[in-house]
Amino acid sequence: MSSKVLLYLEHDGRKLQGEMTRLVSKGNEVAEALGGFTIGALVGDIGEELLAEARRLKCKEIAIVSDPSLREYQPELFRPALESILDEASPHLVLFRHSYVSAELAPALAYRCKAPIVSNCLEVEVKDSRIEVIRPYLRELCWGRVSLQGEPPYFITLQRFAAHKDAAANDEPPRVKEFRFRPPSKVRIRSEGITRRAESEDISKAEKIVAVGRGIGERTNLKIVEEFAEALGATVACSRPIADLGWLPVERQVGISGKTVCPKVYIACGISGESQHVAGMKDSSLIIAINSDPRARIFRVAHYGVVADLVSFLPVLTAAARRAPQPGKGTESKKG
Amino acid sequence: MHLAVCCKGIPEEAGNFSFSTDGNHLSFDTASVILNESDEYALDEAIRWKKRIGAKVTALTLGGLESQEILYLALAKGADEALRIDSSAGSPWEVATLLGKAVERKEADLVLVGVQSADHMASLVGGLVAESLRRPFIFAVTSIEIIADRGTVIVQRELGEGRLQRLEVQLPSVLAVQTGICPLTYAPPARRLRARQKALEVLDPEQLGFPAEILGRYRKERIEEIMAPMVPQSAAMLQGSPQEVAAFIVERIREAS
Ligand SMILES: Cc1cc2nc3c(=O)[nH]c(=O)nc-3n(C[C@H](O)[C@H](O)[C@H](O)COP(=O)(O)OP(=O)(O)OC[C@H]3O[C@@H](n4cnc5c(N)ncnc54)[C@H](O)[C@@H]3O)c2cc1C
Repeated sequence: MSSKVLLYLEHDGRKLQGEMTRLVSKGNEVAEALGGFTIGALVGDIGEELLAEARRLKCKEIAIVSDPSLREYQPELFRPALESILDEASPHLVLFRHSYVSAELAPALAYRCKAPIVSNCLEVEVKDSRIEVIRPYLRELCWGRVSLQGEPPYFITLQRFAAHKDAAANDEPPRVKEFRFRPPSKVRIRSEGITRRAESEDISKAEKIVAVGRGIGERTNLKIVEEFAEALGATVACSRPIADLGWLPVERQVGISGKTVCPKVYIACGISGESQHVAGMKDSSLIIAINSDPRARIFRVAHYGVVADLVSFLPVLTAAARRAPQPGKGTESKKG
Repeated sequence: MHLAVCCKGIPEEAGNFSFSTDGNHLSFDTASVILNESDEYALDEAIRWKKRIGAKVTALTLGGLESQEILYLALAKGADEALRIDSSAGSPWEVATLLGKAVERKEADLVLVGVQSADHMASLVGGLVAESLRRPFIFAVTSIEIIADRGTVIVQRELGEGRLQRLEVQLPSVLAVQTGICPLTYAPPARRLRARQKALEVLDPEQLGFPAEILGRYRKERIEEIMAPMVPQSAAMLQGSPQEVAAFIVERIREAS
C-alpha cells in the first residue's frame, strides 16, 4: 500500500500561500505515522521565484505541472493538471488547505477517485493506519471526531489556522519532477481575469477597531456602535453579515473574504467568532469581546469578555470612553 | 431556463442545545428547522432570474418531513416547484449523489447551492453534485448574469483576501452562491400560509435509483464522537456593574493604544 502524502501547494501566481509551511509540517507528521513521505504538488505557470520557494519546503519531492495556460487559476484546467500528479503518485492521502480553491479542486478529484473526502478539518491523525480527523459542526459549537471509511486516496482540507507548527528548515532539497500539462478536450470555463476589490479606505491601517456583527440586531442600532468608536477615536469594521445586508460597505469587512487586520485594540461587538472572521483579526494585540451568549466562540480568542446586551451596554462604554482622556483620539477616521 | 436550488433545513440554534451522533448524522434537540443562510441567498437569486427572464425555479431539499417547511418557504418566496428527497442521509457524498440524481431528473440548466451549511460546515455538496453530473462548478459566486441565448453565465466569484475573478461558464453548470449576492426577500405570513396549499413532490432514494444497500456504498465517513470544542476559553470574563466593567475596559484600551 502506498503511504505517500500529497500536499497541494496553493499560491497566487507569485508566492505560496502563507500556511503552506504548516501544511507541509502536518503532512510530514502524518506521512511519518504512515511510514511514507510527502510530495508537494505545484500547478500553474511556475516561475523561478515560486519554484525556489517550493524547493525550500521540507518535502521529499516536488511534482510540477507548469504551463503558460495555467497562469491564472481556473478549476477546469487546474483539476486535470493536479490529477496527472495524483495518477502518478497514487498517494494514501491528499491534503489541501481549506480554501476557495480547494472547495473546487478537492471534491472534483475525490468524486473522480470515488474517494472519501472530509473538509474544514482542524486535525488529522493516523490511528492503526486508519485516518481520523477532528472538524467543527454547527457553527463551531461542537467538534466531531470522524473516521474515513473505504479505500484510499483520502482527501482532506485543513482549516487555515489549525494548530500546526511551521515546518523546520529542510536539510535536503526535494527532488523536482516535472509533468507535462495535458489540457482537457473541452473547456467550459473561461477566466476573464482576477482583480482586487476597489476600496476607498483601508481598515487594516487602523490602530483601534470597533467591529460590529449581526448581534447589533437592527440597522438603526449601528449609531450606538459609531458613537462608541468615535469616543475612542477608533475605526468601525464589521463581520460579513453586516456587509451582506448592505449596512456597512464591504471594505469594512474583516475575515477571509474581507480584510486581515492587526490593530492594537479590536473590540468585537455581537460577533460570534466563526473561523472565517477570526482568521482576519486573531493577531490583534488586545481583543475585547462583547456578546450576549456566554458560549460565544469569540471568547476563545478574546483577552477580555463581557456577557452583555450591546444595546444597553455600549452606551455605558461610550460614556466611560468620553470621560477618560484618550491620547489617540482624533488621529483616526471616525465614522463608518 | 430552469434553475434548481438546493435548500437545506438546519436546526435553529436556540436555548440549551445538545447534540449526539449515531455515526452517520448529528442530532440536535431543537424544535425548529430554518433555511441555511447561503441557500436562502441562492434561492432569492434564482427568483430574481425568474422575474427577469422568466426562468423556472425548482427548490430541492433532502431530509425528513420537518424539512418540508423549507420548501413551503421556497414556494412562498416564488419557487415554481418543490421536491423533497425523503432521506436521512447525512454525509456530503450521499447527499450529493441523491441531489445529483434529482437535478438530472428535473433537467435543470443551472443548479445553485449555498457556499456552506451552518450545521455540517463542509462546503462539499455543490462540488460533488457538479462532478457527479460532469458539470463545471464555481465556488463563492457573488454575482450571476445569465446569457440565455449564448447558453452561458458570467459570474464573479471570491478568491479570498479581496481577490475577485470574473468567469464565463457554459450551461449546464453548478454554482455555489456566497451570502450577500442579492437582497434577501421576505415572505409575509399570508403568502407562506398560501404556499402550504401547494403540492410538493416527494421521492425516496429508491425511486432515484439508490436503494439503501447501494446508497450505503456512498457513505465514506463515520462520526465517531461529538464533543465540546477543545479550545479553552481565553478571555477573562469581566464581572461587576456595567459602569465598573466599562471603566475597566476603557482603562485597558488606553494602556494598549
Ligand atoms: C467562504 C466563506 C467566507 C466567509 N468570509 C467571512 C469573512 O470574511 N468575514 C466574516 O465575518 N465572516 C465570513 N464568513 C461568514 C462566517 O462563517 C460567519 O457566518 C460570520 O462571521 C458570522 O457573523 P456574525 O458573528 O456577525 O453573526 P452571527 O454568527 O449570527 O453572530 C451574532 C452574535 O451576536 C450575538 N448577539 C446576538 N444578540 C446580541 C445582543 N443583543 N448583544 C450582544 N450580542 C448579541 C450572538 O450571541 C452571536 O454570537 C464566511 C463564510 C464562508 C462560508
